[in-house]
Amino acid sequence: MTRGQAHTMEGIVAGLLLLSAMVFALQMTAVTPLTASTSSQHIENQQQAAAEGVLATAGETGALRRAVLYWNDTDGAFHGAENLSYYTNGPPPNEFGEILDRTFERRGVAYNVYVTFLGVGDDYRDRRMVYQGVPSDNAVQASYTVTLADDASIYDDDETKNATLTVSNATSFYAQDTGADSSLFNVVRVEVIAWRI
Amino acid sequence: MEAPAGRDARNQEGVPGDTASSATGKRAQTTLDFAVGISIFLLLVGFVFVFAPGFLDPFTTGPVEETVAVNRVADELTLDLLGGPAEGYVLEDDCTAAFFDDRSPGHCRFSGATLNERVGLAPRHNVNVTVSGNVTEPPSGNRILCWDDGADELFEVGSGSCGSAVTLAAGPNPVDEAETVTAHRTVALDGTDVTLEVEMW
Repeated sequence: MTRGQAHTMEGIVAGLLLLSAMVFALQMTAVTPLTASTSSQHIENQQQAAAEGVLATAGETGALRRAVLYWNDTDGAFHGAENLSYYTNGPPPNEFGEILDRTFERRGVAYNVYVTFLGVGDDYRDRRMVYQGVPSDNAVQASYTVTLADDASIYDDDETKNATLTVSNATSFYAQDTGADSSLFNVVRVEVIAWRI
Repeated sequence: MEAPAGRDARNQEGVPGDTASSATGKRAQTTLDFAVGISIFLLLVGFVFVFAPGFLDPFTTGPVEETVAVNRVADELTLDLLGGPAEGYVLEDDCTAAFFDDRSPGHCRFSGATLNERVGLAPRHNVNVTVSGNVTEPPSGNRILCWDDGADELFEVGSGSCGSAVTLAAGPNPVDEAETVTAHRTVALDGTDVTLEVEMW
C-alpha cells in the first residue's frame, strides 16, 4: 500500500515540468501569435516613414504652415472644426488634410495630429488638430517644426491669406507671442501619431 | 500504442506481481498506475511537440533578407540618393528623372550603370521602383507618374501627356508566383506629394 499512485503522480509532475518549460520559453519571445497586437516591425517601419514623409512633404510645399494658421478667429477653432475645436471624422479640409488622407486614411491607418507650442511661463502646451482616439501600443510618432513670425497671416477657410488678420492681432489664436521684444511669435511643433486599426 | 503495451506488461508482470501483492499486500495497483502515469506523460510530450513549432512561425516565414533590404533601399532613395541628406523626403526633380531614365549624371548622389548598382543591391536581387501620385483635378486615384523635362511638370501615365517624357518606374515587374515585400514612402516632388514604392522579391 505504500506505493499507491506513485507513477501517476510522476507522470503529472513530469508533464507540468514540460508545460512550464514551454511557457517559460514563450516568455523569451517578444511577439507571438498570442500577443495582443496586430502589428509587425515591417509595418511599423512603413508607418514611421510615412508619418515623417507626410510632415516633410507638407512642410516643403507650405501646406503645413497653412494648416497651422488655418484658424477661425471668430469661433476660436480651426476652420471646419468649430464644434469640438479639433477634427474627429476625417482630415482637415485643406491641403495638409489631403496629404494625410492620401497617406493614411486610404490605407486604414488611424492618426492623431497635435500642435505643441511654447505657452505662457515657458511650459509647452499642446492642442489637438486631428484626434481619432487613443493610440495603440504600436503607434509611431514623427514631428516637424514651423516657425511663426509676428506678421504671419491667418488663413481663411479657402486657404488664402486673410488680408488683415495676423497671429499678433488675432484675438483667439491658440499660441501666444513668446518673444515680445523680437519679431518671432512662436515656434510650433506639429506631431503626427499613427497606428494601424 | 501505449494501451497494448500496458496490457502486455500487465500480463507478463501481473502474475508474479499478483502473487507478490497477495503475499505481502504492499504493491497496490502498480501496473495500472504505471499505465496511467506514462500515458499522461506521453500525451503531454505529444502536445508540446505539436504546438511548440507553431509559436515560432512568425519568425521563420517570409523573405527576411528582402524585408530588411527593401526598407534600406526606400530610406536611401528618399533620404539621400534622390534628394539630399539636408532635406529628407524632398526629391530633386532632375536627379529623380535621371534615375528613372537609367542615367547617372555627375551632380546627382547616385552612380552605377544599372538599377541594382544605383541602389546598392547584388545583381541576384529583383527590385522595382515606382513613383505614383495624383496630379490631375479632379482626383482620379493613384497613378504612375511621368516627368516631362521640357515642361518641367509631372503628368499621369495614361493621361495622354506623357509622350516622350520619362516614366517614373524602373525595374522588371514581379512575376506572378514571387513573394514580394513592399515599402512605401510619402515624398515631395515638384511641389506635390507623391508615393515612392519599392518592391523586392
